Amino acid sequence: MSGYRLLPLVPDDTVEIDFDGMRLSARRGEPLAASLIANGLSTVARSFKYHRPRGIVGFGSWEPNAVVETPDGIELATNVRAFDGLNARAANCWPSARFDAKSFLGTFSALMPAGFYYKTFRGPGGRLWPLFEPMIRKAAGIGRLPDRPAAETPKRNAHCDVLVIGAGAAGLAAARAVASNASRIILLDEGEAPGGRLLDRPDLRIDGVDGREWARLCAKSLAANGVRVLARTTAIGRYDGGLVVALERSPEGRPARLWKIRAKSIVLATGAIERPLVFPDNDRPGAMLLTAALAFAVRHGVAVGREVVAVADNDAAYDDAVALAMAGVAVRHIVDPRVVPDPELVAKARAAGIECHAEFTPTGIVGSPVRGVRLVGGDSRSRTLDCDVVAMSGGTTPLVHLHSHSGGRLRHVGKLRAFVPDGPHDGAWSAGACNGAASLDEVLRDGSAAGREAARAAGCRVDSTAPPRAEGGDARAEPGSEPLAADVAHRKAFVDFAADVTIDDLRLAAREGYESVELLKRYTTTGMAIDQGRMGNLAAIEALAQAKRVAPGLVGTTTYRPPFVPVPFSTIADTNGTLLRPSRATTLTAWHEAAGAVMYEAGAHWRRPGYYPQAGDTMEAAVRRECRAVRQMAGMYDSSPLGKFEVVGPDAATFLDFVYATRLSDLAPGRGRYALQLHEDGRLFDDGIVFRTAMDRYFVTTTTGNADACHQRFEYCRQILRPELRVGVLNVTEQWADIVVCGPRARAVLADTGLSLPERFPFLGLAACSFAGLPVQVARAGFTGELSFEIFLPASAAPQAWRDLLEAGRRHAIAPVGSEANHVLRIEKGFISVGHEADGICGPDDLGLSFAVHADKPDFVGRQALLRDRASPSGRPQLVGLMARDPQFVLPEGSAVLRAQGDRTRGFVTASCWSDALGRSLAMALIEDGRSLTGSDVTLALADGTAGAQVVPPSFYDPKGERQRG
Amino acid sequence: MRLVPCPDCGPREPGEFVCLGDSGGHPVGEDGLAEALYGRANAKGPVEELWWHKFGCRRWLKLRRNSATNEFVP
Repeated sequence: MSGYRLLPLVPDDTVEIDFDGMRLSARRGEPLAASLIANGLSTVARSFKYHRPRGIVGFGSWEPNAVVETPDGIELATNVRAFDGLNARAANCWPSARFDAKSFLGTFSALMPAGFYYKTFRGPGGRLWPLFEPMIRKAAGIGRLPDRPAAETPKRNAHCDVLVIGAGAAGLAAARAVASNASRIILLDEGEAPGGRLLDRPDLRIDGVDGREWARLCAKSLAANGVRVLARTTAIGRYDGGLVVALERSPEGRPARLWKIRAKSIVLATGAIERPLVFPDNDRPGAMLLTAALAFAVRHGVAVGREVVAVADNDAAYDDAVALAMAGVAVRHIVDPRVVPDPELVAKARAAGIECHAEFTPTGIVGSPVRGVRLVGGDSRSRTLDCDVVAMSGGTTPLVHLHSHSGGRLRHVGKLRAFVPDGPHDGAWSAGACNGAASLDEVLRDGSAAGREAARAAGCRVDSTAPPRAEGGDARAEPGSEPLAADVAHRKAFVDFAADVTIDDLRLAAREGYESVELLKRYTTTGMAIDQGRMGNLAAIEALAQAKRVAPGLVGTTTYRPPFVPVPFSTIADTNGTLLRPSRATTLTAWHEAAGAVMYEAGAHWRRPGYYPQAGDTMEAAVRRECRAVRQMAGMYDSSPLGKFEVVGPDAATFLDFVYATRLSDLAPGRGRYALQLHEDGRLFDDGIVFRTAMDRYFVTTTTGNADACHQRFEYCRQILRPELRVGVLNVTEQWADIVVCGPRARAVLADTGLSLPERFPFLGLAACSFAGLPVQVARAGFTGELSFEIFLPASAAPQAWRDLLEAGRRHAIAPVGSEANHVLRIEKGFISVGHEADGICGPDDLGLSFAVHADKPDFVGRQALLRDRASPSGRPQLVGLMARDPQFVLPEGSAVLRAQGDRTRGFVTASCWSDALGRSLAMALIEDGRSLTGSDVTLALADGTAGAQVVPPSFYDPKGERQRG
Repeated sequence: MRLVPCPDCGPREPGEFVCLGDSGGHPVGEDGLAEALYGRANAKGPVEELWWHKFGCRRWLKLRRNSATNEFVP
């Protein structure tokens, strides 16, 4: 392959680019692939698995080999545009595509059959995978991502009546068939200019004008009539209900905009791409698609080589070969495996100076890059033709992807040896080559018809002018040969270039029993590389059909999934920093960060302080200091993420009695109660303290992580289960901040800030108070087991209040406390945490929470199942405390609990910590019938050995609760 | 990705909703408890479902959806 320019570069249009360290001249805006070919480079890539040298095979998004790294990301060389300063390198090789250090892998290729990695590293007794996986992944990667963040890709939503995907002959005819001045129409196309394959064939005429000119005028008049025409835009996915996602690229080829288009009707005019022929060494640099060679010549003025041999088994290829010759590329021969090609086409080719050889089949390639092609004739005579490009044409693959994405069915058409849509699907009509239309006239008529159908379905008027008429383009791309040769003497015949899968790999897999097309795909990886099998899937299906001796239509296809072309994650991702889902901040998060807290994202995506290390602190030391402050002096923490709800109305009490397993209707105003919500299956869903603020008004707190789920449930119970109740629910989680002040000195701290509490303020009381002129609510509640006050105040007032409390608390050695210390303090008290102990399996009794269940109430969510649970209580996991035999040893959370060594697993450690207050380690565990084991010893299975522990009641510190009530 | 027909807000993106599916309802009495808790028809074709318009009007909707085509049917 020694490409050159048919049109010389002019200085104004010339740019300098860098590829694999070489300086090259290129025409501004042409595809990088065209620049590489024009500069005579034939080997521009290395294959995925064997590191075989590879050249450009396709055009546009139909390129399986030439993946390049650019500063903007990993791209196809056929899609990257040449502009000044472009710096690209071949992706899957080192140091360069021409001299690749891993090319030795090709030598061992005979030892790497289908399923090689599974067989070698994961087979019976094989424990090698973890050892080799990193090496294999490194060796097999497709390039490295740039080390800087990707630029932002704006998103855009659009709505229209008719969306036409593809602006080739069919798409333009379809768009024309909708009365454009009365409808909202969007027409998009991947190419730079409308026309599709018309752009490659100057010999075609439509309605009396050059096909290219027709396309240009047609698009221009559509745009003038208000049709939105999007160039360089690829539809990457079609979803239920007329949603299409499309990626628009800039003239430099970078992602520029992600479109989400909702259309009433869709016309899919996505065309078809050529198939390579399968014969030994068909992947050598210089073997490429005939249509790609034609596109490079006609659209970009680049000849792919000095001497071209076309190997083709269909009529349309003759027209393409003639067009290529007319463009100035020396096409010497057409080799056709069919016995009697159309004599008219043969005559036309001969007139263009092309020698035609019928009944000759390619059996191999000479050289790498290509120096010739080996053939065998029908009479078994072999011969070799010299050339530097083998232009292959094995029929077409209709691009049915968008039709199939949201579930459209396909049917196999024997004449095309391909699958086409089996009728319209979910408001999408396929038209043209993707629908199996073969001649240009058929394509235009099909496009017009689909456009009319789509317009009617969308309620638009139909344009009454006659469909466009074609001259030329009658030759059909219906392949005629049995194309599947075998690998010969270890010379590989590739089916899937991108995934490095050969015909023998597929046959081997079929012999080994992978007879379902979905299994075949996963076992051999055919169709799983960057081109998702566009080039090779039909050949793979035919290979499997041959092996199974059934029709290809019965083999079926694998599932087509978006995206249709590789799309950088950055174009889909949101662009606010690194997270797809933003984290939530309380009004105090900024203070915690400024105070040097180690921040976590915990419970419903809140950004919370874990602990506040001081200079030189370890986490352990910081947590101990914070715990000590709470137990001995005073601590304060930001509990604002806690779920908070106002439940209001004459039936508020009845409603909460129904939602909670705990009775709440007999609460006096100003009092609260620890309350449980159950699932309908009787298992614990959530806990929290519910306060009554007035006869018809409650203030409900839920766990942080379940706040949203509680909201959903409250509304579900209100609207669906008990619609007759007069009650409203308001989620005030973010409106109220919650500062907890706890510890023996807590009361003094509040007094010093001027917050006056009522004279009589019992445990679980709620009082309306005034704090620095603000109305606040103070509750005597907390999660630490100490004297504790929760101050609920407007979120915006929290930062000032926090600073005031900290200032006033200084005399009392107050310390801000993070979630790590909270974890230790709650274990010391044996308080459960939803998500740790309440894991969706445990009921209230299992967790020792029966005191909070009032099953004598007539009805509440989960009551029926709870009653049934109580009928057979044995074998339940029950919450217990564990004291390790070695008090210094902190049992790992999650450790399995056994009654004795050799026993089966009876439960697991749910939470574990070092307790400074008790001077030893503590743990909580859920153990089968655990309470009956109180006082006895159990064994814990650790990663390295075992440990002993004693079962104790799950409350270690102040079990009578005198401190929090005091 | 079909739009969900909300009687308050009009057709809206499904991301605004929580789909509870066939909820089983609230069991009363011992009879049919297991069925209410765990029995789901998982039918192909039209199914009754509950949807919550979480990021919208917060109404719980009873919708009929064809589980084979995802189309909402009246």
